[in-house]
Amino acid sequence: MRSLPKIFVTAGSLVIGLLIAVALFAPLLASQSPNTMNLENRLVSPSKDHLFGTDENGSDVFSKVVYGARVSLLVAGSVVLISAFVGLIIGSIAGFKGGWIDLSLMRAIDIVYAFPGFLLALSLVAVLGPSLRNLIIAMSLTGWASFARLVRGEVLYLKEKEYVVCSRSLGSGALRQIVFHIWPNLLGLLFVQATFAMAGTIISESGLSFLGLGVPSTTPSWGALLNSGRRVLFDAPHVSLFPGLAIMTLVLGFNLLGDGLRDLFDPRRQLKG
Amino acid sequence: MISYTLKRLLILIPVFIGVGTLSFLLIHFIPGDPVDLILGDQASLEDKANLRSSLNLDAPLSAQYLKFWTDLVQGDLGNSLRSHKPVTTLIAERFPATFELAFSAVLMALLFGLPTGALAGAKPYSPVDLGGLGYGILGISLPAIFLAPLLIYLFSMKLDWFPVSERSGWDSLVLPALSLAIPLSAVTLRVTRASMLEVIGEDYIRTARSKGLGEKKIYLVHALRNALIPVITIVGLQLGALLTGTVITETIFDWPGIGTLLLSAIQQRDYPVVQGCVLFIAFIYVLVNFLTDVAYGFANPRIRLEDS
Repeated sequence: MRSLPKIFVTAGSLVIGLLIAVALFAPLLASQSPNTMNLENRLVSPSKDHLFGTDENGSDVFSKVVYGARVSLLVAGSVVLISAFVGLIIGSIAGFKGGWIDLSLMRAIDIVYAFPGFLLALSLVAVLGPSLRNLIIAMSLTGWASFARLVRGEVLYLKEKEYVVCSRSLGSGALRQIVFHIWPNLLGLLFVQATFAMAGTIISESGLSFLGLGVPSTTPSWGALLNSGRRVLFDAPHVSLFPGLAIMTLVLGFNLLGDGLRDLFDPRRQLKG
Repeated sequence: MISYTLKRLLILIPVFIGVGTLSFLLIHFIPGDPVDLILGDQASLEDKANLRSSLNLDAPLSAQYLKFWTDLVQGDLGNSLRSHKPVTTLIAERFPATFELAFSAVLMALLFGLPTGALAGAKPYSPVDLGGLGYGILGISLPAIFLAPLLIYLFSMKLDWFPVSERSGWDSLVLPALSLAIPLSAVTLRVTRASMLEVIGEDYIRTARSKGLGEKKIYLVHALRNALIPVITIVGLQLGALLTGTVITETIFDWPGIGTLLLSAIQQRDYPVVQGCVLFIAFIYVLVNFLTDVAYGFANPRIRLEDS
């Protein structure tokens, strides 16, 4: 049973790798352009020609699901990258400098943390208009706070470690201590947090796109596809089933990876299991 | 404990100012003229001028901001542009439905997640634990936009056990509550398990065992009580998220709550209602988080006794 975390990491990486490949090679995998309509071929059940069937406009659901992987990964990837970077910088400054700088940065983090992120993203996109850029900005605006919190706590702990104190006494400046001695030791935790953030962001993005407040409706996305599937749920459940399974699989992949890595990085948990 | 609570309370002030400022600014973030957007290009100049003055958009920004706060403090959120009813009335009409949904979901999630999580953590890698592990990770990976249609298709279209949508009687509550409760129960289960696992390795459990206490008493009295402390935070955060995040579930089930009010206001460009809903939801979210913090401090002697 000790091997469970390793199984999680392997399974998660495989699923994520597979879906990244699908997103990269979408034009090769899709049997037609995702926005091709064919009104004579509406709501066809899954068959050899249409692996996942067709939707209410006669578009091929498989092609849409394949292209939808691009939006989900691109949006979540950008949001998490921006959030992690901003959080790393702000958290490091707060934790390392201490004093009033830490105090005021922590207050700012607390305030952003207290904001309902999904609601903020939803209202901003509603006002600014749905676009890839607006969506990424709106979701990053609150996303960084949890990273900053984590990094600050780790920096507070790591900066008193012997090897950091040692490098300080040898005359290393703040930047050198942070970049060369502190960051390498918190990257593991940061990566775990980023993995879970990917899972959460993919769910939020698909939810916003479902409401029509994510990416523009012309961009094929899993959320928008599920929304169109809702209207024909009784006659054509396949329109909802496949994009739903796609979201679940990708999110599951990130959660498995995060769970597994967290257990591997935390020897305390391992010993208890 | 008092200074801990006061400290939490003080953080609320800038949060509320931030939330208020943001919801005030929403209408100003609109690219172009909001009045043109609301009324359309065909509207007469007179209509536009009327709307502009009723939204107070012709005043200087600082005056608008000041009036926003004085109105807000008096509980005035303005009137809907479509139904012309006060926004506060609209919210008061809709909130009970949202509350009912969120409350039932949390209750269902706790009833299932707490005992299974505690059991799983007490007996790591037992069949219960492995089942819980699978349920937990699947549950947190299920987005509402997939789970809700799945439940509707199975339990209402195929089995015909529950009505499809709209709020009517208790049986219409089951599916929307369940679609919120399943992911929440998964989170609860995972946190309870991890917490229980940590607690049973503590010294005081070994002490309890070595002084000859029965296993039942050790688990129920010593372990469970301490294991539940971190669960408070997670459940509180989730309750806050439920009261805001029900937009999707309410939309799918046609539930007449705050979420559907907000979404239809967004679609109709009814900005006073959008602003009011955002303010109200954020207010509830922040308040629930505050109460969670206080409850956590109360339950955790390390924090409760810190400053006394």
